[in-house]
Amino acid sequence: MDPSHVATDIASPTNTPESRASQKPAEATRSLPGIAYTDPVLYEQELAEVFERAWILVGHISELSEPGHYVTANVGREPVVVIRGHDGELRAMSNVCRHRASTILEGTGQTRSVMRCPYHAWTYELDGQLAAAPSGQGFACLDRDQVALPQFRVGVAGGLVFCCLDPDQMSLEDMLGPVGPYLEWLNIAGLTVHRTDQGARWTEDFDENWKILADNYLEDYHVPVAHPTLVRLVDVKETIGDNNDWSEWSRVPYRTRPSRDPREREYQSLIRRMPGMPEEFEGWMGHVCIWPATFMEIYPHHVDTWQLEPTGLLATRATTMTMVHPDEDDRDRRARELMRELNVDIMGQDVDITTRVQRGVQAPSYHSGILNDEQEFSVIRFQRRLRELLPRIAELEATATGERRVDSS
Amino acid sequence: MTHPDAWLFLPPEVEALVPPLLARLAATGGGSPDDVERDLRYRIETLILEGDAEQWRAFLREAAEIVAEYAGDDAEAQRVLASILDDQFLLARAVVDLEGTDLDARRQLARAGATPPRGSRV
Repeated sequence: MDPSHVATDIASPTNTPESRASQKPAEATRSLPGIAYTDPVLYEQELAEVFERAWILVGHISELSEPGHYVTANVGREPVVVIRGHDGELRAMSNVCRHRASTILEGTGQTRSVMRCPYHAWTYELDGQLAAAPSGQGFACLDRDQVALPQFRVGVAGGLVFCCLDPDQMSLEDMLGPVGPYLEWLNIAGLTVHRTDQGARWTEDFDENWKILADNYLEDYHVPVAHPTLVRLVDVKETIGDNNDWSEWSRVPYRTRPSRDPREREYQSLIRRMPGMPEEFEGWMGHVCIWPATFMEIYPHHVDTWQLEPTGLLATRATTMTMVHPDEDDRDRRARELMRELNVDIMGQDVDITTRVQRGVQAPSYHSGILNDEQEFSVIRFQRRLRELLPRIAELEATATGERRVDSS
Repeated sequence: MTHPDAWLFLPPEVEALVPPLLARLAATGGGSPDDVERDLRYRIETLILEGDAEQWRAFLREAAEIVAEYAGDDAEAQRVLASILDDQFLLARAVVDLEGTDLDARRQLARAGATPPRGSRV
């Protein structure tokens, strides 16, 4: 990609406080009905029509540099593996053995020259073709040439690897819109995934419907109320960004004057952009939201991705992947660790909020709320997409509206 | 007990909207609007970084006085500012008890045209 083209795109954000203020609709914008967060029929539609049709983040390109390198993830209800073949091709395929349905690979890593199911050792080539099954003579009818792991679409943008189950879905490039050039601009591809004793991913399970967590991440209206640390660290009023219907990026400048909080002050003293990041990003923190539930925190010293996965109607798993510069030094490591400490507090504050919301949306007296057209504009866009894709929401809204009419009569 | 940082939900709206409007009003007493706005931004950021709820409330009272005493032609800026600042006093009750001087400030703001935002009745 032509770097000058990228710079032009990034320098001309269309999503500014002024532009949002000028786009207010005439009518109040209402949130999804509370019942949309507890309805089992809608949940099944979300898995099928949202997660199993969208491009879902599965890993970083640095994890897939050699043949046999793989990453695994769940795309809706489908366990998938993305693996580099002996021919150098990246392929996404079902991670479910065609024999008795065990998942084949777990986590991330590198296989030997084939993939072997841990249950009965059915063994697959890296392109998904069944190579052999133990005691093969015992099968009355097993044509190994006819057995292969179903293949899915794989895409790479800005170093991030995505998988999509839907052959008719728009391209990854189209879904990302301005986010693709933004990730290129930030040189996310030049980073490497940070591994801990727990591996290359960190997961956390929440007892809320996935949309409550997504709604919360998508708006900064609650930030000054819930997160005083962020009020002191960044100047939210200077946020700029860009978006299409599916994805958005934004960035907000750090305050340059020191916080009174010692930990925040130490963090401020360490902020410095990594090698490879553009000069124009000096002093900024970035955010990315990708439909339906991929979020990124782009710090000058490291990058976190946060992928939400519905694991039940009221159960959501968040998977975090941390990316650092391959030659991360002590200063950047300390900045990352300090931000992790601050984020533990921030996450705790969000858990408190989302737990309250999950209880609240189940209240018979609650139907839906009015959204702030400026500071909750991403929630509005997100929920608009859900309404378009999921006819069940209209049914639930009709029910809720009917109840409200009865209440007021 | 209220967390000492709890008042920090108040400043962001003021930081975003008030300095340019208040500068238009305050600059009628001398000084350029740009200088007044810059000084206001610095003061608000100082309060965010180093201040507390009492200092914030004192700032609101000062701002309310400027709005109330304004006698120029920019009635729209005066009205919007009065509304924003009055909302601040209403919201601040979640973290501090208003005192007589705050109530005086609210009365001044009402005379200056403070009204709820358009369509705020839901």
